[in-house]
Amino acid sequence: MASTRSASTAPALPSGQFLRWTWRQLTSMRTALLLLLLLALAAVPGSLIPQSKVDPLAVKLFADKHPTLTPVLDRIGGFSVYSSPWFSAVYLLLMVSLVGCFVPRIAVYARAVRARPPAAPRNLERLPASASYVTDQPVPEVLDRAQRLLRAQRYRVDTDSDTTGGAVRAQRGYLREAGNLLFHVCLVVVLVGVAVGSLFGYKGGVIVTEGEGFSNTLTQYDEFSAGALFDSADLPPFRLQLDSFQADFQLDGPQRGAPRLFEARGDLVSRPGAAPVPFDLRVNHPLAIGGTSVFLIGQGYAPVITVRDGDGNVVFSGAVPFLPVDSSYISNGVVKAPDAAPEQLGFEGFFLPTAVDTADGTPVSAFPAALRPRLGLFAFHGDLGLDAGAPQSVYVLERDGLTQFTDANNKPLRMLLEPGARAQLPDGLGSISFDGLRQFVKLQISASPGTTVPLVAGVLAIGGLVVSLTLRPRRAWVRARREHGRTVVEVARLDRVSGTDLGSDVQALVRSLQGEPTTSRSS
Amino acid sequence: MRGAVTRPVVAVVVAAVALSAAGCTSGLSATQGTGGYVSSNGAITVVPESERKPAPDISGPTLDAGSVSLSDFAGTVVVVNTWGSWCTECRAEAADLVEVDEQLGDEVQFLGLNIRDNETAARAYETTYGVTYPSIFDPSSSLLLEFPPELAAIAIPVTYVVDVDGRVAARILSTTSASTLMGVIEDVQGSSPGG
Amino acid sequence: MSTQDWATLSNQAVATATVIFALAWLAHLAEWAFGRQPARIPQPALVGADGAAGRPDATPSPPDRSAVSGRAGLSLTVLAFGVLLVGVVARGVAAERVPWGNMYEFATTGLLVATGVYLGLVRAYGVQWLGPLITGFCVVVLGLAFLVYVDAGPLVPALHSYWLVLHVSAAAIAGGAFAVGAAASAVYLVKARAEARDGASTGYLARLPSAAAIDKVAYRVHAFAFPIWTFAALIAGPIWAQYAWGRYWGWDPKEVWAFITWVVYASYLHARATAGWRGRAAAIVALVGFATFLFNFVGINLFGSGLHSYAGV
Repeated sequence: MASTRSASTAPALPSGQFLRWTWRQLTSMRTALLLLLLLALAAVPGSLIPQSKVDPLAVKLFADKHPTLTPVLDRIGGFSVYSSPWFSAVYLLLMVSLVGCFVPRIAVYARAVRARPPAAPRNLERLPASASYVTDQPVPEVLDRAQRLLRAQRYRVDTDSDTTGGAVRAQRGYLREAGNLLFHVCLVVVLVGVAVGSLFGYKGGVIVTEGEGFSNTLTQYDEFSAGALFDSADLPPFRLQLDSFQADFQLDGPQRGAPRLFEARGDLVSRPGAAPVPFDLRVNHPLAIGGTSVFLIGQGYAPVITVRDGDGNVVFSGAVPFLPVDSSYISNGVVKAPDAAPEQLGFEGFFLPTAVDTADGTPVSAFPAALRPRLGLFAFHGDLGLDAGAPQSVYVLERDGLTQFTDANNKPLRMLLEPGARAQLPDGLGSISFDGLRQFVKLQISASPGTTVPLVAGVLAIGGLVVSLTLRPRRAWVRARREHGRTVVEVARLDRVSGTDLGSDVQALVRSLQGEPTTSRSS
Repeated sequence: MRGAVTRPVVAVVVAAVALSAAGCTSGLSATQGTGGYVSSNGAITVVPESERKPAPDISGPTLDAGSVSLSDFAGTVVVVNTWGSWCTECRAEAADLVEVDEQLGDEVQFLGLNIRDNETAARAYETTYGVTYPSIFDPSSSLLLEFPPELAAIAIPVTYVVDVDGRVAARILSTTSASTLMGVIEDVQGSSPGG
Repeated sequence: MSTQDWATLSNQAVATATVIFALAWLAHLAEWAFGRQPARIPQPALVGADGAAGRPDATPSPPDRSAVSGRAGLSLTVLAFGVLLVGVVARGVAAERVPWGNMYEFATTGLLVATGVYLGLVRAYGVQWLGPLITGFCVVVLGLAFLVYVDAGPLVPALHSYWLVLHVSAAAIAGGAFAVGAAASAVYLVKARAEARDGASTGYLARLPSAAAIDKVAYRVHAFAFPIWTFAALIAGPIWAQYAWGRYWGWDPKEVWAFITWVVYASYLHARATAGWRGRAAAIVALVGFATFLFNFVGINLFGSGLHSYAGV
């Protein structure tokens, strides 16, 4: 049978007090702990679902494999978890909780550092680590000895005296809270510093083929993004010329095909009119030009292709980067000849550095170095869609206005070219030849200003962390009073952080107190 | 009393954190991830006469195996247009540029700057659109580095108008039309002394 | 000796170490089995016929089989450590670089650290009761490491950097220490539950130190490992990433899980200071943290495909 409940519920808090209650809950340790666990949990999906900033190709493959799930995930930010509102909410809440907690603690600590060590509790026996003994030494002598002992153990010491005797109060380990606060403050400094720095930074990517150059203007980039406070006038006006690129792969053994060396060489002109300086760019060894760095982050092959149109004119002749798909360096690429006459021509296909003849004709590359290069192309004619003005990716062929060439069996015409070969297109609409092979490098050019502050803060944070985890703040008290003609001495210690065994420490202190007679008093 | 000190401090720190979170967004308008080049949302800048800086004396080989430099046209208004045969926005304005060139005749000289291209494709483009004015072949955009930073070429196509005194007078950062270009050229001619 | 000879020496040493660890583990299991009986207590003093108290039984009690097995296990662990050390160093000489460039090497180096930390703690705090877990863990991981074995050879260009020494070694040291911490937390949970139920006065559990003492050891190990992990994952890692990939932090799967591990261990430290979470809940958080570390090491390397997949397999 349910007990009767009172009809009225507890009165609601007035809004001011409710806010204060909310704030206190938010900045409590328990909330911080729960938010930390929630943050860890919230980070998990971003490692299981492909992220568009990390691997756009994987996102595309995922979308192809899961057509119904993809739009749902996209709505809730599944492909950009770490910039999604819900992830940001968790860490922002954690930041607020953190800041709201440590700011008052700084004030508390500032006061505690200047204050006297706290007084002994009335009943020292109640403390978990305490002992007492009786001695004939007079009270001042006992207290004096206790002070010296505790000072030697690096305690900050203070004394009280009252009618029956006196007490020594001691505390040490003040730096622990300082380390703790330093760590948490530096954590916030690092995050704010990184965010502010990114406002002024930029990051761009570009593919540069051997024999070509790159000038640091926005017209030359393949992709570019910058912080909100970045000004394009701040791009340092350098130019680099890529003379050669060397890529070595492991030829034998179980790691056959693994990359061993990527090295790009050329000349760098740091500003118009400056003398060219040779450079040697490798992975892990970026070029530094002012505050901007040039990183080598990828590479691949660029077959040299010539296209002739139906009228017999050469309408395209140059190296075309084909983008590698996997570690065997099988690569995909597109060639567009929008000024071919009478019809525009487009080509789409694959490049194999070391082609292997397979039974069904599937393109396979056995090794990433160009030991047996082959270019496989499908050809199209019609309208490439470039004249309308709508932007089009140089790596994608828009097939809407195009008709594919077919072979004698009405299957899509596939031309497989070795270096030096030329293939004629049907209906006299032109030809395409594979003249030679060059390599390209994928460069990332970026500037991340303002890294000194986060770096220094990070190092200080680790220092503060180590201090806060190793120092153990402790208090000790020694109280002596005269009772029945003898001195009763009580000793106690308190560890402010759990996890140590103080019993033996107290016994050691007692033994030291009882130890050799003092020599400070002349008899 | 303690709260009176700590609460404003907390508010400032929290605001700093929130600001920095907002800083995670990218701000530059010229951002293009997938097309393989950076295009823009268009802006026309006409520089007041008193603030114009001298245009760099860009020079280089032309697509027809000659050479040309900007100083060859000293005393005339020059329209410098950056283009590539692969660039759809450039193709969309090509006919308009040729039209303005023919209309204005000797008043104005057009000079093309061909970037990120190969010579044969660029020449084929010129044939398609009937381009008769010279273009410098500069595949690495090195000449663009020399323009004043405030008027940097931050996208393609970009069209500069250089006044009769050889100073950069205007920048058009998008596909332009014949009428827009005419208007800008008249602006520049009108505002230059002896124009 | 040629590099091939060093490589062979390394493989033989690691294989031998695996066997010795297995023997040590068996010894610890025997210690556990024998420990189910309580330790022999001396007989009470005999009372003589004339009423005078007789001398206590002079015959020595039979040797405590459990303790003997335990000491054997510890000696074997020391031997295994030495042999594994030879294996790791020889691997470094064979590959002509620091021996932590792929999953196999990271596993052997990490286990070396874990065993070293364990032995150091045995000397300092007498934590022999961690023996069964540590030796068992080493046997299992060394056995699995053979599945990802690759010959000693050069590394891919992205790993050509002295940050390999700093970042990966710090991660391996922290990981080895986390393993010891996880073992201590697991033992703590068992002992704490036993203490809560019936005071843990019988059997093997009675031979373990008190739950509070075990908790103290677990805390100290985690307090040692956490700053090192902070340095490895949040300072050295991003700095190296900037040189290699042009960005400090890109949220690739390995970075994400290193971050998750860091956050969970930070939660552990916070839990120890929060009422209601001290003790068992905190120990569980520590075990979750180690699980995330293992997932990072195994799952992401083998199944992930980010920039960080350096399993080498």
